[in-house]
Amino acid sequence: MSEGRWMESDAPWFDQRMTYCALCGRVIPKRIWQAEIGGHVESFCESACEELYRSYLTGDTDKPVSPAPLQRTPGW
Amino acid sequence: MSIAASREPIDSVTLGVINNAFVNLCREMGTAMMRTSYSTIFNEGLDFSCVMFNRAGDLIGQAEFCPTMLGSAQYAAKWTIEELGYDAFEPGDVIVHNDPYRGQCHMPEHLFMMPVFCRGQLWGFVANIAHVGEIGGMAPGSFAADGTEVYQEGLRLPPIKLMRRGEYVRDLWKVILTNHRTPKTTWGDYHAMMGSLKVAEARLQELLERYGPEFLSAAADQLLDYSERFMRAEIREIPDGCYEAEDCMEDDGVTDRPYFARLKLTVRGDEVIADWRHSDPQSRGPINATFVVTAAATYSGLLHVISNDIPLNSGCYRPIRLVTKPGTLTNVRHPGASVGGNTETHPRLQNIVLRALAQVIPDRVAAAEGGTACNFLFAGVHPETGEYFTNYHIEGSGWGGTATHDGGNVLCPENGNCRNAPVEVFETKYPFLTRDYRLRPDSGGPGRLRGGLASSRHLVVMAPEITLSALMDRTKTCAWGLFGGGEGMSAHILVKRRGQDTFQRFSEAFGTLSDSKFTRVTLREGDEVLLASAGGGGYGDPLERSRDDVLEDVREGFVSRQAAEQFYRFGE
Repeated sequence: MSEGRWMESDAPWFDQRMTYCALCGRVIPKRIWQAEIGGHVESFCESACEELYRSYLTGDTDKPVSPAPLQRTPGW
Repeated sequence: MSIAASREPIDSVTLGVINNAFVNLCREMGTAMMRTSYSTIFNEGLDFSCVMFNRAGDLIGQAEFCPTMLGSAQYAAKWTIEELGYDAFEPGDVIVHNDPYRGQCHMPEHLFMMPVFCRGQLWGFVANIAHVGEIGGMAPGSFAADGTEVYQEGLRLPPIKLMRRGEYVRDLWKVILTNHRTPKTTWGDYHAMMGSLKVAEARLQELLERYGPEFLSAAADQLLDYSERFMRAEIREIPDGCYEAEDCMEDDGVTDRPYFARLKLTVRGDEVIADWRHSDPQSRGPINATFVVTAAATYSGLLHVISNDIPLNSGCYRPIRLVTKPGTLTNVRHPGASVGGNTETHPRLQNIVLRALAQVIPDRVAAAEGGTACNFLFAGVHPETGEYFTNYHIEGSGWGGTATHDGGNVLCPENGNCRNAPVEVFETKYPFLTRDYRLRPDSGGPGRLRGGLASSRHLVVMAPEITLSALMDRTKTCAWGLFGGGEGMSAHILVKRRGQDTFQRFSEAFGTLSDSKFTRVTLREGDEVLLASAGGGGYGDPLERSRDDVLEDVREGFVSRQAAEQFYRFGE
């Protein structure tokens, strides 16, 4: 269940700082969905990203992915 | 006040008719673009896409254009709407937008959006995205292959009105035309884009007149919902699980090391989570993908493994969730460079999606494609006209073999769905002589279904001076095969200076850091360039290829007798 709220970026028009969604990583245009997670306020582009953040990333051990080995043809 | 969409279900036949009307509207836009544009990359390369959006910025119509633009279009449109606000739009407006940090793919891709009104209210938008061939920046052709920040890649335009109520915003036009090296071509291409929007607006007005705005809005909403249901049903057919894959870009033009993109693809029920967070940190050079490029590559990969019958619109993308990390190869952080991310990294990411899915739906995926557009950019003064020119040329590569077909020969990468310029057009417009243009024998990876063949082009400079830049990949790596299929042959670009006997790498001849990514090399009359694309990977054990097919390959010259004996045991 989402526990956040919409915020409007109050950055002046000449401010080029960017806010990235904590889940999908997209730059957020103006309206920011903010939610407190683990004692931190996180920014999202929509509530659905907050929900997936909680269900998918929480508890994620962030281990490096073990890649599929490249297939090679000897002599090619 | 918006036009409310009715919630009454519309019968499937009517929905089908309206969907086809949307598709045809986009196709007609494309024809107008092709026939009226100035640049070769527009009228021969077809490096553009034509789309339509509803009032919210959801993609509701598209046709057979460039997957990288189509998958990212909704992000650029929604950004435009959010940044400008609904009240900003007026009849006759055209908004231009190419900012990769505001939802665009990369700098050359320009979005033109025209609001469409009905009974005084905003109904939606018709739009096109096109690769404008020269937008300024550090290198002619605006592929800053050894650039390190977005500011070197050309003139960056946030969503801004190019036309206001049908009138030129002259101050902006002056800024743009002053910063592009070939303003006449920009002028022509921009007007081709605007002209196609007018064609689309007229067709959409006819539809609004025929069906009424409320009904047409309802139909668009129901088509979005139908596509979402369709996509969810397709995803449910893929077994739940977590599938991982990776691949790399061989270098970034600035540092001599590979950069890896890594995907963890989780299928759970009727949705897919594409987690790209573990990709390498972003490169200094311009091979980084923006978020929307990664999103579009993910969508494209998944659309390749589902039924072709799905109406293509934003609804398809709802069950696909993206997880990326800013500051990585798959989500560049400002002010990182990204012009090559859209052309070269995108096909790699799309291939990674297929590679991950190969573990679970092997019959519906393909081996890797050659995966480089061999971006070849040049500029100079034409000796016959005395006019300054630039051109953005792309090549086709071999596509990967599939469970049922050999890979296609010399096709532009799957992210672009473009064409290269015919030799006749190329020679007529630019001072190069094409000495030779051919398929590369043995370039397709061996397999039960062979990888597609690459091409080779031999050019001779026919002007006193030409400035050349290139942004390629797969010159040190190869397109991978699947299930025992072999790798495709690598690409290369070589140069022979006038009076020399042999071709050299550009690092040897000009001291470039990368052999495949460089800018502003000066070629002189009589210099020669050999541009070879990459072959596709093979699918399945080559020893299982039918003898008839191997014989046919040898007869056609696709496979040499030596390679046939080595990989297919032909003749035993």
